[in-house]
Amino acid sequence: MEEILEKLKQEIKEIHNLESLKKVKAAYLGKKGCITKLLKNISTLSAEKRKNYGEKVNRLKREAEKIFSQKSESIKKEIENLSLEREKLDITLPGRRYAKGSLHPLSIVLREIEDIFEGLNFSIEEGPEIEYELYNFDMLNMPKEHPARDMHDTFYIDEGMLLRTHTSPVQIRVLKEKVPPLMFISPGKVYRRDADISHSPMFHQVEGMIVDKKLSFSHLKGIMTVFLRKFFGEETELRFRPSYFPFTEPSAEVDIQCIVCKGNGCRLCSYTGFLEILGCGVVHPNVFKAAGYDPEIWKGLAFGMGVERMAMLKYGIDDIRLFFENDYRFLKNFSLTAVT
Amino acid sequence: MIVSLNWLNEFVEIPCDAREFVYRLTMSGLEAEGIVCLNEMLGSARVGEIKDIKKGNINWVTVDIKDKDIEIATNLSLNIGDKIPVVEAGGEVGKRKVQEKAFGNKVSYGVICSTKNFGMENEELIKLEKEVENGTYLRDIKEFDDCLIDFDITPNRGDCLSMLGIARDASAIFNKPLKKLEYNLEEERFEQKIKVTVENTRDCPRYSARLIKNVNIKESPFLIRFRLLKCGIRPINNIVDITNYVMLALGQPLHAFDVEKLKGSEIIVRSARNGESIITLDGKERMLSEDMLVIADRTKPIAIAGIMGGEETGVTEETRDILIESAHFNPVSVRMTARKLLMHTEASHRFERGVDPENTMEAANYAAYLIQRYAQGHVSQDFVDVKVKDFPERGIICSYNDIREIIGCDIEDEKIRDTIKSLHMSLEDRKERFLVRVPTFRFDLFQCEDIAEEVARIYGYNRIPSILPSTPLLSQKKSRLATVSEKIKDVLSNNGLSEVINYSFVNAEELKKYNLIRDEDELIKISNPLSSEQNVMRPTLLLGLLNNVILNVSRSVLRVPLFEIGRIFIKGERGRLPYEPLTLGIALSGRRYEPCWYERETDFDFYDIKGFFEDVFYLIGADVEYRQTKNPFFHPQKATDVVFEKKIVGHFGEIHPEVIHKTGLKVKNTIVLGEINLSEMVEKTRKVIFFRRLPRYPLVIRDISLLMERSVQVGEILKTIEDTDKHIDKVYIFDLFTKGKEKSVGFRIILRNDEKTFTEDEVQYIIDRVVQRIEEKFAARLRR
Ligand SMILES: [Zn+2]
Repeated sequence: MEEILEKLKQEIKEIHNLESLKKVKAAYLGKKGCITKLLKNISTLSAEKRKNYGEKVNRLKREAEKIFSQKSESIKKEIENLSLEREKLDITLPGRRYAKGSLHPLSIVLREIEDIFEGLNFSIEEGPEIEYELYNFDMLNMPKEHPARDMHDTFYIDEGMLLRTHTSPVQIRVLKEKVPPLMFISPGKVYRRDADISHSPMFHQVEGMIVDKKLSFSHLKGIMTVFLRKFFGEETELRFRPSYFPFTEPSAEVDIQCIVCKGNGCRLCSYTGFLEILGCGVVHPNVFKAAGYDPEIWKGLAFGMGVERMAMLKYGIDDIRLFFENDYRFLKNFSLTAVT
Repeated sequence: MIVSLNWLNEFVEIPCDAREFVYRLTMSGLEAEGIVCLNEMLGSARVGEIKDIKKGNINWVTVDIKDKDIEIATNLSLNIGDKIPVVEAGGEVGKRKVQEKAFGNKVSYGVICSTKNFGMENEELIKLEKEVENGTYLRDIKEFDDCLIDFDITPNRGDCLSMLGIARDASAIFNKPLKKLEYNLEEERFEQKIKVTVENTRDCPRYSARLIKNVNIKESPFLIRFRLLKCGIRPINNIVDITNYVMLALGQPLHAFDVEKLKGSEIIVRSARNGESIITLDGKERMLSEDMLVIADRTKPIAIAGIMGGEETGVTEETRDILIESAHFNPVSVRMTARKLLMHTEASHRFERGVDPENTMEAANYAAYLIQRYAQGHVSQDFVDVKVKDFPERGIICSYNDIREIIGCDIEDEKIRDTIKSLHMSLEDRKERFLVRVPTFRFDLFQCEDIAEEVARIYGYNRIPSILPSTPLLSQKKSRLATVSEKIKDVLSNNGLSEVINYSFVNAEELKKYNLIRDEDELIKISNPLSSEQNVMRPTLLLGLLNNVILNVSRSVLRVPLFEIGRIFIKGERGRLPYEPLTLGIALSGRRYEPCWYERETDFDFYDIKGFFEDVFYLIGADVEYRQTKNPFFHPQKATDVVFEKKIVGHFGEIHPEVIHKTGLKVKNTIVLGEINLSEMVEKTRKVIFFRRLPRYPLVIRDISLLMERSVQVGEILKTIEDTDKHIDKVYIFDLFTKGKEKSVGFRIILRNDEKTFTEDEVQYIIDRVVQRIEEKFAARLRR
């Protein structure tokens, strides 16, 4: 009987389809199968032998059935695997990607600046790009006869109008229209008559203003430090140095430690180790007077920065004209830039 | 303003090296733009004497450097006997090696150095004194052991446009006293007198002058010439050089008149008369007007006050007697005149920013002394000093607390007091307050804030604490326009378009060429454009976008999907600001997809741009209509106007083949362009997003296909279907093809009933009515 089992195992070893397995099964367990025959033989035995024999043959039968069912399962699985294999994909082929465009690098940087200031509770205000000379200069303590006007090369439209040279006229408009305390930034395009590798006749500025009763130069340092560290990284070294803007007094220029050489001196920073990044100051009393505020009561802080410069530093762009040439291959650098 | 540290040392002791000096001054408000340390640039340069010159295409000079003579090729113009800096081959100058160099069959064994070799900006020859010994190394000559610092002086600090001015700030910063100039002027008595009359006292409140006779016009001594060169001024002759030298030293511009050329020994300071003119020292004729101040003799103007002298009365080789003018002119008057005449000189630069009115005599005297010494002039003891008024020191009342509050820093009273005094201002305590007297050389101090800045900058900005203000404000929400425009940027950029930013100014001719304007009078012109390429403000985004496409196609970019959001400029009423609507423009050209294995290569067309704009309209919440456009920029059959609230707010589509032809691109490049006025639409829309209940009963979906003439507008059919029954929830077009003169359109209609489940009869009834209405209205028939 053991031999039967061995033979059976040998016989099904090479079988890989259910048809053939069925045939073999019939040969063992079918009506005329060899194990069936052994079972039938039971009637020819004596009563006492019968019990023992019966048990043995039945065990054999169960054993054989088990072997067949296991084999049948394994053949089924084999067939299934074979059919899946025929569906095999080339998983190295590039996926279907929906076309991605890009935001302009200046838009990305502008958003970043706006987000930081919104986080500090600043509102966002806008104003016209073609402005009255009065708003752009005179009310900002820059009368026509003052040499400070030479600091801004201006494009003029006729009749007392010009292309704003900074977004500061927005501050005058807000001062006149809204009620203090105030805290806002004014982003936008500005224009100066100047064109070379680092100057563009049109560029973007973000200027900001805080108006409240108790404000001092040290608060300006606080705000600028928070902003610049959020923008350039918490480790950024800053320095404040005195400067001159007609609409602020005291005025300061803020430098950050050179992002290329970390202060050791390189071409980017003209070997000073620092990069000029923004201008700021305490609002000049004449500006408040021009806007109808009592400078004895109201104090103000103001600041301004060039967005192109920030973007050039951030992305290592060395020619400002690239921003406005709009070569598609340049623009595509800034695809999917939400995270950097 | 270039400062020589050597020269500065004559005014104040500098207790540190040049780099530390630059840092300290920069950090207290005088920003240095550049520094050239001459002593680091000299290398092996030494004094050579020109022994022989052979002129030709290249000049060959023989130079005696004491131990030998060397042959050098040069293009500098030299004379025999000149002593010049020279570097022998094998040596070094300006941190560069000097090597032998062959010219033809001759070898040059060194170089003759100009200012450029030492790192200075202009290229000028440096002629040394005759007395200096040949072969002397320059590093052993005192004037070469110097550093030059280029300060960027802000317009408020006119007082710093001289060695004296910089020295005053340095004396405060380093706490060192100012040194007084020591010189001894010998005066003589002459019969000759020059009469000065000031007619316009408003614009000339002070006029000082000195008469100097029998001057010997020649080259200035080396010290003066070299210091002028260091500061970027070319030496001319001793008299002119000395006037410039004193200006650089003391900040007072001077002018020398040739007395023999004055008509009538008289100087009149007056307003110019209309129609008068003058030929200035630069040889140009200047037309004058009565708002300009001139210096005149009896007959005519001889100088434009504070700007430039006249050619006729200028100093020449033959000049014997001179009058040195040292005056104070009204800054506004000088500025206005200089602007009108488009002139900008060292003198006008200083007068515009303010020159100390109490220093005119000192400057005249110092110049007279130098002329006496270096031009052997005889100084008349009669000097001119017409002083129309006194120049009192401005008083500012401040309190120590004001200063502390403006700065936000606890600086002690004493420190404040000392700082103010160190800046040469006097201070009187008056109980809690104090009175500061502003010296006459400062034109930028008027109020307490100004004094606070002076204190802060000397104290050091970096010592002031950084504090966050506690202004208790919540930021206001952005305007809807700003929010919408940012959202649109996200949607378009996430869907494959790249954002561009174009200049706001464009070329008027180009607008006309591409049919983008009818009339040039509609345009806002820039009075002083940088070039005619940018002479008007853009009335449309389309030109910029079209040029972006042209540029990219010309650079073989095969796929150009772009958009821009920016303002356009529409002329307003006279004297009023223009209308600046925020506008969205889109440009598509070339391939619809980047090359890939799963899409066929096809080009962008009308329906691509329409899809983008439809997304935008949906985002804004605007219902628009489309109407065939009459705009000549666009293809008459493949473009549309966008109508919103009965107004045309934009247009888009393929551009006219004629326009493509004019761009120089091939006509097979289809370009789809368009723009819409966002300001207009955003102002009048509001979008309410309201939750809509999910269907409670199953939706029913039915497809119908219809055959119709090709000219039938499918948009109209869609509207008809949607209007047929309130249960029609949504209609899709799932199939479209043309066959001869006809087209077949497949509609998928979604039916929704919120009360009950549809019966088959109800559904059939609705569909039958739909078919019936379309058949009637559009002469269409159902395809079986
Ligand atoms: Zn650096």
